[in-house]
Amino acid sequence: MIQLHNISKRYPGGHDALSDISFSIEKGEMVFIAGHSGAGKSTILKLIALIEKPSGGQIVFDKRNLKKIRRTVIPYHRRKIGMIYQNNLLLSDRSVFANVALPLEITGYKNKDIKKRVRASLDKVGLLQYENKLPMRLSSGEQQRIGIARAIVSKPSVILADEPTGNLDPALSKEIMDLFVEFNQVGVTVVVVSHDVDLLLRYGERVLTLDKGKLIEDYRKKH
Amino acid sequence: MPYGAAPSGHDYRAKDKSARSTNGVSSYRQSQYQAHKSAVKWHEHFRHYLKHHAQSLIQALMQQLRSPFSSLLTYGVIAIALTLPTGLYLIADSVKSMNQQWNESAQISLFSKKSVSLPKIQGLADRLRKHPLVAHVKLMTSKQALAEYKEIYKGRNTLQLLGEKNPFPSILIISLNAALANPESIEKFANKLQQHGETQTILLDTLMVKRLSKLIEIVNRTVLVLVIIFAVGIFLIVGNTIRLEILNRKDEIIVTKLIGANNGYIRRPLLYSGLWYGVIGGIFACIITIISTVYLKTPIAEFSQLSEARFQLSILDANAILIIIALGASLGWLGSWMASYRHLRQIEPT
Repeated sequence: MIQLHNISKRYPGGHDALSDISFSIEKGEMVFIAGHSGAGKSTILKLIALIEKPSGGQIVFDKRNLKKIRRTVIPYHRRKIGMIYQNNLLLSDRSVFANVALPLEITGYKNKDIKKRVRASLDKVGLLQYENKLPMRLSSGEQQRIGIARAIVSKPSVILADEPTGNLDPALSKEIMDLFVEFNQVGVTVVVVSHDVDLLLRYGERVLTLDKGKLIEDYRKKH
Repeated sequence: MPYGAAPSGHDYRAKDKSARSTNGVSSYRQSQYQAHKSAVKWHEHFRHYLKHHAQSLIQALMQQLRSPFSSLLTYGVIAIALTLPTGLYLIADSVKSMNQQWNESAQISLFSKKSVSLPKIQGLADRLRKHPLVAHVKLMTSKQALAEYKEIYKGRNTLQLLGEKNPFPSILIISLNAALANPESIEKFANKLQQHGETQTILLDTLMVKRLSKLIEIVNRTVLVLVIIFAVGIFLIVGNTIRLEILNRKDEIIVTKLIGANNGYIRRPLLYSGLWYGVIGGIFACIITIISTVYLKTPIAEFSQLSEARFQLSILDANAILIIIALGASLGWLGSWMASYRHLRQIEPT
């Protein structure tokens, strides 16, 4: 599903975020990317979502070489991915419903389908009763769940989550991780960036550990 | 509802499901499925494209109405920028109608040679009547000319000086077609008449017409220069307004880009915003112009009556109103396109 071949990333100013990283993620896999701050975890997600471009190497996503993707095609590539951010990136002047509906509006779904799908997603994350509220009126855990609802509403084949439980207490973190496990069980590839050791021990079937931009371990839990 | 259970509608995961179900089916069936899928896609895309245009048109107007004060300022600036050249255009148009009146009053007097017989002169008058530049020709025979002279100078010594001899030739008074006549064509025509064998001399006064014609040319050029200057002004005003709008909505633009919106999708409401600024600014410009015309109409009519200048201020007709609104709309759209094209490319998620 996702293959990284000798990926390196150097930011302007000379900082090496990643150097010579190679791994592949199969379809339907749930993978954690762990490491200290500045290890390059988030950069990997940004490279997969084409928010950043690698300085070297190649990324193959769904049999497509991302290096050869034209600028105008990048939005269509992003529509295949459900991206979840630590700070949610919600639109504060739009209701919960409007925030979740945004990916479907961009893709061009019919209104009645948008209604069905958004409600299904909000129901999934337990926020259906808040559909008309503004996100800022809700707690940070609820806001995080709106972000998740928005990411899953277009039923992507891949979910990339960047520190999705970073601001949440352990109970809420478990709730959110259970959602990811549920998505993964129906065949969705899930990549979670986290430095929460408890989370990794409990859910980490496969953990890629980064240190100073290098892949130092590719751990798979034995069954 | 479980995550895997998709509601009805366009669903790309459904595509995977269908694709799986085609395993083992002949390649012909598969290509049929692909063809059907692409046809539906094209239709769906076009429907979505139109729907988003309609939504953007309404959203852009609503957005402006939600902040009436700042919108009103932009409408006002555009309206003033459109009103000034429009007002000058109306003045030019009014002067043009005055010039037509001058042309109408332009007459050529052709004095025939004494030796030329009356039938010959009549023949020349008939030929001239067929000329497109000529409205009508009045023939004054030498006898009529003498009679008129005697009537005017009745009781004066000059009549005795004339004696029994009639010194007057036959005269053709040629009135010109105002719609076709201009100083150059009148002069050319007069030169042609001068070369006729029957012509002794030609009397023509086009100086006033020439002066007015040159004045109109100056006004016309001024209007053109002002239109260009103010058009650039509107373009820059709208461009700057949209640039600020983009900067205000920078976070929202980044989020929508991250979710998969392309520049076209984000640009659409901004383009309609520029269009609305131009359209509403244009409507305001027409209202200001009409009010100003009505306000000036009475004193101008009174002045015209007193000075016998027959000057009338032109008013905005339906065509002119449509042109002003269309001009505003086009400039608004262009200014907005320029700003959004430039700035949206610079805003990328990092």
